[in-house]
Parts: sequence; C-alpha cells; structure tokens
Amino acid sequence: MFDAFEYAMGIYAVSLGVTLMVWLVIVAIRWFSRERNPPPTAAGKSRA
Amino acid sequence: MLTQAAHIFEGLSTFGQMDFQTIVIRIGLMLTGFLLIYLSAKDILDPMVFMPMGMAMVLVNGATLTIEGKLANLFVDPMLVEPDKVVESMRIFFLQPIYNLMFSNGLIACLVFMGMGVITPLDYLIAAPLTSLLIAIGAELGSILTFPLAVGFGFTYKEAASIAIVGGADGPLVLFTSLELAKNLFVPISVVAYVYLSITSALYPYLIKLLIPKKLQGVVMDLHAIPKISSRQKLIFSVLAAAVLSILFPVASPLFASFFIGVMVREADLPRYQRFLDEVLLTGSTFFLGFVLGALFSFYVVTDSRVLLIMVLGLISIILSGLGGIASGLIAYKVSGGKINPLIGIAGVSCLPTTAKMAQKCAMAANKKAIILPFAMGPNVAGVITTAIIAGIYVGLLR
Repeated sequence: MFDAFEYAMGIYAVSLGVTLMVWLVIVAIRWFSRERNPPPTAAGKSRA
Repeated sequence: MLTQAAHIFEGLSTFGQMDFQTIVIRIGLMLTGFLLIYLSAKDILDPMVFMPMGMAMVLVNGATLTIEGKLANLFVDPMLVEPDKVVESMRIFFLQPIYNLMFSNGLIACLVFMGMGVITPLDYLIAAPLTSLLIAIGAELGSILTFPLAVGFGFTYKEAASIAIVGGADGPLVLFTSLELAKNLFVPISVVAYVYLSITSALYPYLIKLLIPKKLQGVVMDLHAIPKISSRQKLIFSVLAAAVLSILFPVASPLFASFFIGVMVREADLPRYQRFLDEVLLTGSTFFLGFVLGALFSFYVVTDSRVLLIMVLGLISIILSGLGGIASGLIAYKVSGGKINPLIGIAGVSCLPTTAKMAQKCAMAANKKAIILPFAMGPNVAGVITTAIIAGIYVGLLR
C-alpha cells in the first residue's frame, strides 16, 4: 500500500507539472494577443 | 400443462433455475431500477441519465430467458470477445450494435465530451488560469489518494486507478479509464460514478456548511475584475491545449480532441454545429449512456462481490476531492487577501457544471449579492482538464 501511495504521489507531481504547462500555454496566448495600440500621445505626435 | 406454461412465461420460470442468492440479486436489481426511476422523477438523481437506466435495469433483470441452455436476455451480452460471436450477437441482442460500436471502444465518452465542450465557457479559466488550475489540481485529491486505498483493499493497480478516477467527478473520463484499464469492473464503476456525480449537489453543501464559515461563503467578487476574453483567444487556446495534451498523452488524445473540438465549435461561432453537438449528439449519447449502462446491470453480469467495496471507495474518492477543493478555495481566499470567495474551490471538482451552480446557490444563500458563477466556471472547466491529465497518466502508465 505504501508503494501505491508513493506511486500516486508521483502521478500527482507529474499532473501538477503538466497543469503548469497548460497555464504557460494560456499565458503565452494572452501575451501574444495583448493590446499593442501605441499610447495616445505618441500617436498624436506621429500624426503631427 | 405446467411445462407449456413455463415456456410461455419464461421470465417467471427462470426463477426456478436459479439458486436463492441469485434470485435475491435479480429481484434486488429490479427494485434498484424502480428506485432510480422514483428518485429521477423526484429530481434527486439526474433524470436524463437515471430514468432510462432504471427502466433498463428493471427490464433486463425481468426479461430473463434461456439461450443455448444459459440464462440471458435479448438486450445485450457484454461478455463476448471472439469476433465471430460478436458479429453474430448483433443479430440477436438489440442493444449489441450500440454496445459494440459505442461502448467497447469508448466512443460514447468522446461523444459526451464533444457535447460538454460546446456548452463550456472558458472565460475565467483564461482570465485567471493559475488560480483556476491550482484549485482544480487541489480538487483532484480523491483521484490520487483513493488509488493506494483501493490497492490496500486488494484491487490491482489498473482497477484501483479506474476506481480512483471517480474522484475526478467526470463521467466520460470514468468510462474511458475503466474501459482502458479494468473492463471487468466497467459496469459497476460506471454506474457507481454516475450515481455519485448525481448526488454531489446534495452531498457537498454539507461539507461546505461544515468547513466554510458562513461569512466567507458570502464574499462578493468583483465581476468587473474579469477582463474581456476574445473568442479568438479561446479558439487558439482550444487548438493549442488539444495539441500539447495530445502530444503528451496520445492514449487520451480521443478525449482531448473531442472536448476541445466542442470548445472550438463554440468559439468559432458555428451555430449549426453547436446545435448538432449539444441538442443531437449530447442528448442522444446521454440517453444511450443511461439505457445501455442499465441494460448491462443484469444479475449474471454483476457477479463481482467487490461491487460494495467499489461503492465505498467511490464515495471516499468523491468526498476527498470535495475536501481538496474546499481547502484550495480557502487557500485562494487567504492568498488573494479575501477577494476570492472560497466556495469556488468546490467547483474545482469538475462535474461540469453542477458543482459551479451549487457553489453559486450556496453563495446566494449566504449573501444575496454574491454572484460567483462566472468565477466558479474557471476551476470547473480546469477540473475537466486536470482530471483528463490524471486519467491520461494512469492509462499511459498502466495499460
């Protein structure tokens, strides 16, 4: 039973690692699709 | 005269061919079927699954006859393995084509997952991914700790993993894992899982009352704090998550593909596909899931004496996951400085969307201004993903 407990803890650790990988995917998507509009003052200057 | 009557009323005469214990099990299963119908009619159990299941259990155990000298019914025979007999059986047993083509290969789980994908909003998961995913992984306590417990009770590693995954509270994943790892226990594990999934909304409020102070249950969360997540972001996430998880766990890729294709259809705004997956596929699969599972629960299939043990371990698994979810919710409350309602922790126990709705109901009971459903959907959806990950690891390691 103790072996099985260790085995289960190993599975939990791997699943935590994979879960963090899913988190990284989401962070990357949000980072790449973030608003990239220039600040209003800079835009004003370039138009001028 | 008596022999002719026995031939005409074969369902009755087959009682005479059984020992006392089998008669008790047969009648017990018929009564259980009636009970499921009654509880479904009262809305205590989910009528979509348990109404057809109860009906099938009553009929399959009642309509027993003799085929080639053996007790059987004309519904389904799940014990056949030889290809010739499997093909031949489809001419005899009326549910056999559905069982062979949808259950024995796990297709039914995938169809239900497609339907679940199309009704799943991803907004809060993408808005607060770390919180949602960590709460969900905390709520997997039952899927992990039940494994050594089941091994301690004499189950093999494969059987123990199939029982433990009940704690993930996700029906299709339980079906998938037990079909892959423990086909001999597929029927009892699946039925036990669906019974417990149905009673989570009755069971968890007691855990909540016991462990979360009423003041914390009423914490108001700021709805404006959820940033706008575009459909494009959700669409990209569904494709990338499916790809990454399928590369990591090819054995579970049919499930990932099914769930995320449902999400993709939702976010790509394809209304005809949305209606097809939700109204036709999900509804039809849920109906056949209940009916065929009930038909599988015949007295000569359910001969495993460990069914009672599976029921106890399944309950322990569901309770442990609930405790893990509540603990994660309380930690999130502390870490956020009181901005997160700890009730969203219980939504980490997947069971989409039942636990999220139940968390909202408890929050409203404590404070009428507490709207937490959009937040609770984050851990709720993350729970599906983390359970799929754990199921993928179990199946990958043990099959």
